[in-house]
Amino acid sequence: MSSQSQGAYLGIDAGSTRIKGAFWTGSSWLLCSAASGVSYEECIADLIGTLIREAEIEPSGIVATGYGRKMVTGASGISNEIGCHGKGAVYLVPGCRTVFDIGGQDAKVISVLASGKVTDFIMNDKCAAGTGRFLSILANTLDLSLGDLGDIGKDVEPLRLSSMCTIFAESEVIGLLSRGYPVPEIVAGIHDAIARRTVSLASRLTMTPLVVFTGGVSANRDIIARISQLISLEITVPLHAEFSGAIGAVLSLCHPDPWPFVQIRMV
Amino acid sequence: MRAESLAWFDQAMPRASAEVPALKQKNVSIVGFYCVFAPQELVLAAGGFPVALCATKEEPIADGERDLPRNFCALIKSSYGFAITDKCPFFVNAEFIVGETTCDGKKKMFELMSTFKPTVVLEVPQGPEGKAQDEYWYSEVQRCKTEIEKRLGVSITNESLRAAIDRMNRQRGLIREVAALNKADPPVISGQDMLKVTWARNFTYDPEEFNSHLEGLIGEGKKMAAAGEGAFPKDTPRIIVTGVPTGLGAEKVIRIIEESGAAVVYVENCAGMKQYLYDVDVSEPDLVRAVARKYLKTPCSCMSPNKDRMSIIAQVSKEYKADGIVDITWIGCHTYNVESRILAKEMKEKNVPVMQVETDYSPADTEQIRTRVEAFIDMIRK
Repeated sequence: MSSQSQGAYLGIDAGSTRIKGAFWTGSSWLLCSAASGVSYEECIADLIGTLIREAEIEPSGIVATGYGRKMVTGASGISNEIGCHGKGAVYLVPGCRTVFDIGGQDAKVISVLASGKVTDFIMNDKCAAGTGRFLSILANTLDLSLGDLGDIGKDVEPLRLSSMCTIFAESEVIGLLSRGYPVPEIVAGIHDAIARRTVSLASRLTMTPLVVFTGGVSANRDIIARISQLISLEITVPLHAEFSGAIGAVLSLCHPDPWPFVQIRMV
Repeated sequence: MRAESLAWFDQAMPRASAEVPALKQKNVSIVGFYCVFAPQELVLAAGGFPVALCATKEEPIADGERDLPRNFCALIKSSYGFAITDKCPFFVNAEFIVGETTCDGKKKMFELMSTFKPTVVLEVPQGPEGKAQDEYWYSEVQRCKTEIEKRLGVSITNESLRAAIDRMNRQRGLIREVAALNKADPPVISGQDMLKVTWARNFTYDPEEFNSHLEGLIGEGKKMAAAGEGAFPKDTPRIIVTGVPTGLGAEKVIRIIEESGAAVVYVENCAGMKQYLYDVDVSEPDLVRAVARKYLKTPCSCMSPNKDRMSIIAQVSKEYKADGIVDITWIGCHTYNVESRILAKEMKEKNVPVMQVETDYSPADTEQIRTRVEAFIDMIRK
């Protein structure tokens, strides 16, 4: 391990929906996340405060990444989120060569080397169709909670949704409901639509195993299963996948001990 | 450091707006055009002044959408929005417009535009090769010549056409020399400044004045290169921009690239070098045919196939030592969007990374593009 492995460093991944913090204390990880509220800057400061209080030490440096990276007061550096997600995924799953990361408003697919260096990537344009936002709006329309969708859609033959625009898809879902289609088939249809869109995005890259899935949407096992089937490759979802970007930000400053052998504490 | 000679080019647009009334007083006819397929030599030979019309700002898009479908590309909606609201001084003062059928959207836009402005629309063949295509385009350029003569009440002689060709050939040569300054490391001129130079040409009435400023820039640039000076530090990652036109007002992606720590060393698109690649061949006895042939060679995605664009990008990637290529596509521009796949595949074989950015004129996606551009620069950095 590098000489820096004993330093304490904090990574903040300020996403569009949730803020994730990962604090490497020099011997263990502290992980903490919170919803990004309207007062974004305040939420970030609170999260940093919690992590420092729990760790009982001050970090030698704070690296910010993600959509709100410039709102992180006290950050000593800013790191690009694609690079962070690449590094983070390789740290969480050694041997990872392809990363799918779908968060609140982004979908990205990244090719990485064993070192975590990005060799190619593709990311959605400004339209957030097929991301977490799409999922949460449609869950709302169906009066379901985001966390239940994965189980409801599992192993169900999907209805084919033709709209990928969130607004049109919402109208389409309302139309299907009014014609009496069963909710699980609609949910499976939404998952199928996201999976197809993600795979179509990814098809512009060469997908090499091991494939790792991170970001908030990784909590939906039905979407993962459908993507896995479409690309004919197994997909690994690591524990604490939500923190991949924040951990990757720390990795730009130091070399913590390898993942499975360290103590991890959620705060 | 920035070349001092660039200061003159910064002022080209405001100068041009002020020049319009003076031209009118001198009875110089302004002829508007939008696209690099417009054979500007014919306008010059008739004593007119060809001027590029406004098409690169977001502001008039909402007006454009009153008549045009929303899913048209930003360039067409902006052009049309400027035109119907009289916000483009060049459009207002133009005697007529030379348009061309370079895509379905433009073709139909000119149809609407012709109801309130005199237009001459040239039909462009679907491909650049073949005898029939060559003859067809030649007849369209001939028709354009006749229309210009009729509308401006002059006849274009062989002598006047030859003078116009010489004038434009000379200018193209000088602009190629300016671009070539960026083969040096560090590059001498930023991509954003290069756009100002190519842009200024569209609005400068006096060619001698423009050429002398180009020569000044070339002289200063050569000295800078010899002294190892440039617009960026040495070893700055080098990017070639290609794809749709990115005139001033629509240079968002180029600005983001340069703000994120890379240099745009060559702009291949229509706002950049595409129109300056080839000269009109004066050894051809029929000068109208020579003019037609130069324009038909324009490596535009409206041509099928458009192999020349691929080989040009491969060649300039080598000459300008590009670390990567950023291919910009306006949402709604099907032809450049399809070619992005072809380009990525061809350049992958040559180990030059390509990133496509699909966007429009609005600043809404600036931060998302920045994230991708930063990651791309990190990836290509040696």
